[in-house]
Amino acid sequence: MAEEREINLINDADLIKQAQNGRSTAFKALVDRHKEKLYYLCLDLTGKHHDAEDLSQDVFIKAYKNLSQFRGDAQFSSWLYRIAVNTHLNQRRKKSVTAMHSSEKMDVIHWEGYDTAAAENPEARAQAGLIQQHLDEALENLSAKERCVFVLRHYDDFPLKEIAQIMDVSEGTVKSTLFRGIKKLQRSLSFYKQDLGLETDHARL
Amino acid sequence: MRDCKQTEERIIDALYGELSESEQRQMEQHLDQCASCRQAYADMAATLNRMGQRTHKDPGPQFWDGYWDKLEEKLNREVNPKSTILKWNGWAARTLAAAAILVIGIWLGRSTQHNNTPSPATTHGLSAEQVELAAYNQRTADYLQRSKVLILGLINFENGSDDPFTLNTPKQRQISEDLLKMAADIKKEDNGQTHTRLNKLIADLEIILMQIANLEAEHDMDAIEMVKSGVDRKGILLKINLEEMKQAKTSPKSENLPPHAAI
Repeated sequence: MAEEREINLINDADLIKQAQNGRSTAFKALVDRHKEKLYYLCLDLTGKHHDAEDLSQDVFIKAYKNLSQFRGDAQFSSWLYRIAVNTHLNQRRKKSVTAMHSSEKMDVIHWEGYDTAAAENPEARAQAGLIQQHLDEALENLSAKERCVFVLRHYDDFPLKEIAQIMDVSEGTVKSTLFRGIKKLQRSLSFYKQDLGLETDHARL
Repeated sequence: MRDCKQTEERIIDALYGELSESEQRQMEQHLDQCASCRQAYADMAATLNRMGQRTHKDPGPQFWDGYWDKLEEKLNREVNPKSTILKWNGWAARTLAAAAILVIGIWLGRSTQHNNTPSPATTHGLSAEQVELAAYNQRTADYLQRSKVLILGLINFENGSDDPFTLNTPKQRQISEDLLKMAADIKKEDNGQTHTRLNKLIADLEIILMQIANLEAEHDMDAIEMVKSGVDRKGILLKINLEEMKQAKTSPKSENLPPHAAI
């Protein structure tokens, strides 16, 4: 317990140095410190608990293997996020290559059915406590990159410039991807229009 | 129209408060005059507001409490696959480690009585060079096997257990020092052959053995972890196995030698 208290006082940079020198307790302390935020990012990216758990653990394993390459010129959390985004996009890419046709067809069927039902009786669905499911499904409708950008900006509050660094693209690309993503979300949630007050003209910054 | 285009380009910055003061004033002025941009902005802002209502389900304390254990297991499997396989075998691994320590003790006793002169086996139809090479190979094989056993004992050690075959640090240190001396002797011997791979392995092993020889306290887990990670990083056990396989293949008729002829 005393060691745990002591290690909690050490900053990330020093813990990383200790972990780089092979001290496993230092790496465990880094995991304890960042696991929650990383897990929730992974949950936002994947939408499923088990996928989020696997992805977040893959990220820590990659971080452990490549710890010697961490130069400390960025936040450790940003580095983890970068690994998470790249790993997730790579996994998605591989999956989409192996199951391209079937998954696309399934998506279309799924979304057609969903939109029809929602348009018929949106209030009833919302009242039935399905609003969270709708929001998750709206996220599902984004491409992997749109979802990454949106999640990083909207839920993890990363500035656009930093998202550009994490995803290794230009800031302009981040903005256009985000714009496209928000428009898609808007369409997915269009049955909430009345509920959101979107029919009234009250726009203000 | 030009203002509408600019507004669209800056709408993301505006939604997330990343506009400068003057840019924000410009946008406000345009939105006051342009109903279509005002509507577009309002729609997107409302969408973000709605998406902000999304909540996370907490996976619960059991998940968080077990997170490190699961991760550690995966790390062992991916980063130290050899040690994990042995860990999974539980008793088998411990028994092996115990047997290894006993064998080391016996060999240690023998290693103090090394005799480099050819034995009477030279008369068994082999040339002096062949016997010398066989003796060299035998010493190298001994050195590699003892090193392997020492390392296996170390990487299978788990702190905090009441394992009767627990580490005996002073003994491990002593064995490491003896093996370092053996390595120096092997390197000194020049039997007219080049052993690039073996020499590289001996150099890698020297670092590991020196680390073991310098273990300071009983159960200094950090130092032991460092040794384990070095063994894994350099692929020491794999290289030892490969070298042993190579020696078994190329050893010149060593089966013709009587047992321990080289010792």
